[in-house]
Amino acid sequence: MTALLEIKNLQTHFHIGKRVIKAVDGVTISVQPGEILAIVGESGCGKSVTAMSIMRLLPSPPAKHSGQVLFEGHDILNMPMEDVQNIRGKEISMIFQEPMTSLNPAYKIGDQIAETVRVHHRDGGKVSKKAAWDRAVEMLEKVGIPGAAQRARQYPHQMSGGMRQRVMIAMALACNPKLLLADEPTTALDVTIQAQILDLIRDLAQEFNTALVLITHDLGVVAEMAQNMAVMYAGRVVEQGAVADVFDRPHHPYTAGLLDSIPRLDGTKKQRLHTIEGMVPDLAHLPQGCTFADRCEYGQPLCRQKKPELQAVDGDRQVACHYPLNLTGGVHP
Amino acid sequence: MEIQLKDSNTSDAASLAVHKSPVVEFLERFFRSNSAVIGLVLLLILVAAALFAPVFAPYDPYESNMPNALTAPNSAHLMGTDELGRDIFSRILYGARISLVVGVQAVSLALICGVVLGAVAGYYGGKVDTVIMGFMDVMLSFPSILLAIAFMTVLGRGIDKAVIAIGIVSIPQYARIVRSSVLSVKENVYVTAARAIGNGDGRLIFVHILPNVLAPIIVRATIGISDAILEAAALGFLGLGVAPPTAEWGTMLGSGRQTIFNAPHIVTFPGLAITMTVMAFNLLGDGLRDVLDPRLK
Repeated sequence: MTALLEIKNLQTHFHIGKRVIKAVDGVTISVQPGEILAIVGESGCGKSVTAMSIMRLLPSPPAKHSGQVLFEGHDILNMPMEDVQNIRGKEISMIFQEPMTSLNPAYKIGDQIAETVRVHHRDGGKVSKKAAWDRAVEMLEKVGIPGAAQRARQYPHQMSGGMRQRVMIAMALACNPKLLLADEPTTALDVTIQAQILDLIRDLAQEFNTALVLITHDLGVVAEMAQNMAVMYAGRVVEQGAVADVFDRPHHPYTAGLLDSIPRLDGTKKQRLHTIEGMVPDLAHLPQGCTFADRCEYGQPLCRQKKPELQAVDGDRQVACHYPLNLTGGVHP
Repeated sequence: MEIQLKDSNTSDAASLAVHKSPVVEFLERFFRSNSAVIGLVLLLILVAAALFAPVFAPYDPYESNMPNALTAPNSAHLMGTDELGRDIFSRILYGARISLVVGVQAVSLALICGVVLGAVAGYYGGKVDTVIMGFMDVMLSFPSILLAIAFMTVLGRGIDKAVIAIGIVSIPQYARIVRSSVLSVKENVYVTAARAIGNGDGRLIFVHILPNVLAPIIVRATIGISDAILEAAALGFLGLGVAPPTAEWGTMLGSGRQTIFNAPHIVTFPGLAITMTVMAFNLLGDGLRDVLDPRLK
């Protein structure tokens, strides 16, 4: 199967004054058609910047990209802007973290969904206003908004956060994109609404046969939603593989640390929650060796000298570590 | 209240009816603002005077009647006559036409140029911003009336030329307001979201950003009309604006100043007309600021 999206050694650096902030520093990921891939990592590890880079949404300057983002074999990073605009919203869509501010307060929500449809039929097969509006109402029904025909005539301020996120989903899927990027779509929502929205995204992605890249810091969400996952740390992918495998046998010490840090219902009462010591390194002054070396329980001299590359281990797993944990048959120092 | 109690998922058509359309909401707030209503009433009086000048005016504003020159206000001439015996009340009614036309046209010109320049500067930033706003700052560093005088000297006299001169000199004010509003609005997630569905720069600026910076522009433009009328009157007074026989308030003031001691009514009434017009637009603008300010909602 050919990959729908193939990111090869993507680097997104922000040049601010004399400082270079390496927000994304060598990400390699591939997404198959219809797949759900989760990108996990703590705040500031480059998850969102990776998503924004895929659609080239970052203002440049200060952002500078290198590497490749191949969408159906074409490199988005080297396309003329017009072609990128044709891909945005039609082939690749995005849902943002903040539903309260991601809709334009000046327009009815129906018009905003209809706009997505109309923007992509400017040349050739023109879509009438009426047809685009009907599509908007149809999409509102699909995302489970009752009274869609009336709701379409409302303004964003008349809706709750959960409703607005549903509208964003309707907007994102209106043109039947092949890939949906969801950047922490439930972080700003009530816990009760989170599960509904996630279920909705998953069901619709399946129905529209849309591949989904779900960015989150919630490992529970990953376990629930995704087939594959990529763990990011300080701008790099440190581990990749099928969700069940990674949860079962994390190879990278950082992944293992993250999994240990989840509060467990079956843990003993007095047991303190596991934490990963230390801080994320300064993205403007990344260490020469492994970015995680300073915080790693298993750090060795080699880790501080040489940056480990992402390499295949155990079949279809990938890890960027000189001394991976839990290898079948392997013994960790 | 009912809406808040209901779960968002179950709200139905009945509760939707509670939401007012933005137009209705705007009108309600507008009529609650005293200054906006007073400004609007004064403005309506002015517009009526301008529109129906031929109906209301008791005399031909251009017909001179030398034996009757410089008569004080009386029952035949409500506001008296000027040095050529023309009826001042009639001339003021016709003058309203010129003042309103000059004010509206000059502001429209300034608005169109200022909005485009300011929006482009604010949206693109960087060198584009530096060049455009640098130019605007140079224009702002001259007193605007001085700049308008310079333009009039080059262009010559006439209503259309006064419009162009006043319009050009007030471009920077609009450019600045639009630029600063665009700078803050473009950071909103919804602008990125609009870009993410495939909109180009042009649509982002004019369809997604500009409607959200309308409020300050409307307020400034309303007050800007009064500035423009005042400047037109000043140009007229200095003998640079509209050429004499035309009934223009500033020109009337200018020609009446020689007889200010023996016939003060010649300068009084045009002056009052200018004051009332400026006040009408300022009150309306102030009222609109209160009505459109989201923090006061």
